[in-house]
Amino acid sequence: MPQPDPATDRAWVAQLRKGLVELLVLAALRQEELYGYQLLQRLATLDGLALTESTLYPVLARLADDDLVAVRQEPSPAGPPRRYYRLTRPGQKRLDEMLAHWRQVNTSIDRLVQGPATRKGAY
Amino acid sequence: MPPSLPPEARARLDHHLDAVEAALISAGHSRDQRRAVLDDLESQITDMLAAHSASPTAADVKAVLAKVDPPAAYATPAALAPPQHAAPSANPRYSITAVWAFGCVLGSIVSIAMLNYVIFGALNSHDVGSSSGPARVPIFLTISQGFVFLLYVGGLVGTILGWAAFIQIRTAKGALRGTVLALFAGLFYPTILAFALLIALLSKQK
Repeated sequence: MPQPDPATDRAWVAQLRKGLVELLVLAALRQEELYGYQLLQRLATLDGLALTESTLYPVLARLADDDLVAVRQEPSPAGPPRRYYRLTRPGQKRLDEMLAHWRQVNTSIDRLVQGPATRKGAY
Repeated sequence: MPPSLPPEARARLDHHLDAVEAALISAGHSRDQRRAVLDDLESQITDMLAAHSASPTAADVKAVLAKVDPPAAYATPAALAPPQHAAPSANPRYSITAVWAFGCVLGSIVSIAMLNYVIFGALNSHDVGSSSGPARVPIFLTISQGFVFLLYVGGLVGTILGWAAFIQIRTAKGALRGTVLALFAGLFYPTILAFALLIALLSKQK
């Protein structure tokens, strides 16, 4: 029996996470203002949500271009100024829409996994 | 004041940042986006360097750069960015402006009917010559004025909202619906006005 390739096995996880980057970033900025590296570290503390900088920073730049996040620069003791990101009102609106869609998809997948027999019993 | 890096360490870091910028250019990122990404990345690397050593050397920079994504990794995210023009929504919602526009015009049409009803009611009460007829005229006038006000305001507001809704629906690229309501509201009174002008012109020519 052929063994599953671990690299391929993990590829779908990376693909799924990349599809969720925007949602993850907006959700992380919901509570507080964070700078890029801080945001990266915050996501790394949560199981399955770790991103790398090559994925995160271009998304942050695009979200700033789209006015979904606002940027403020502050001097850093370690080097160049830090760019602090915070959620804007349109960003909050986009996050609410994405979360609603995410919950809908989540519920649908749960129903799909449970199968017709369980679903019938649930009603 | 942030500590400055020794020239060799700085050169190594700049080389990495230049390579990242080249990858971002190849991925089609704008100048502003590239600058933002490079600022974030440089800030991260200097934070990591500060945590690594109090006075970082070229070897420290090399060690830190080994922990971050290689420049080539920056060439891929642009391909994952959503398209500039999103696909039309599978379930477009009704334009609230279009619904209001339709409601205003419909309200003004109803007020025409009510106005006719009130006027005919007033005329009929005069015809029968009852004693209460003339006394009721001011009431009829007040009610009529109310309906005339609704007719004008509803018609004007509805027409403006109708055109605003039409533009809104067109620019929403499939995310909104209600074009029929918007066009009805936007065109109803202008069409009547156009017909009235045409009839007036034709009757003058006769």
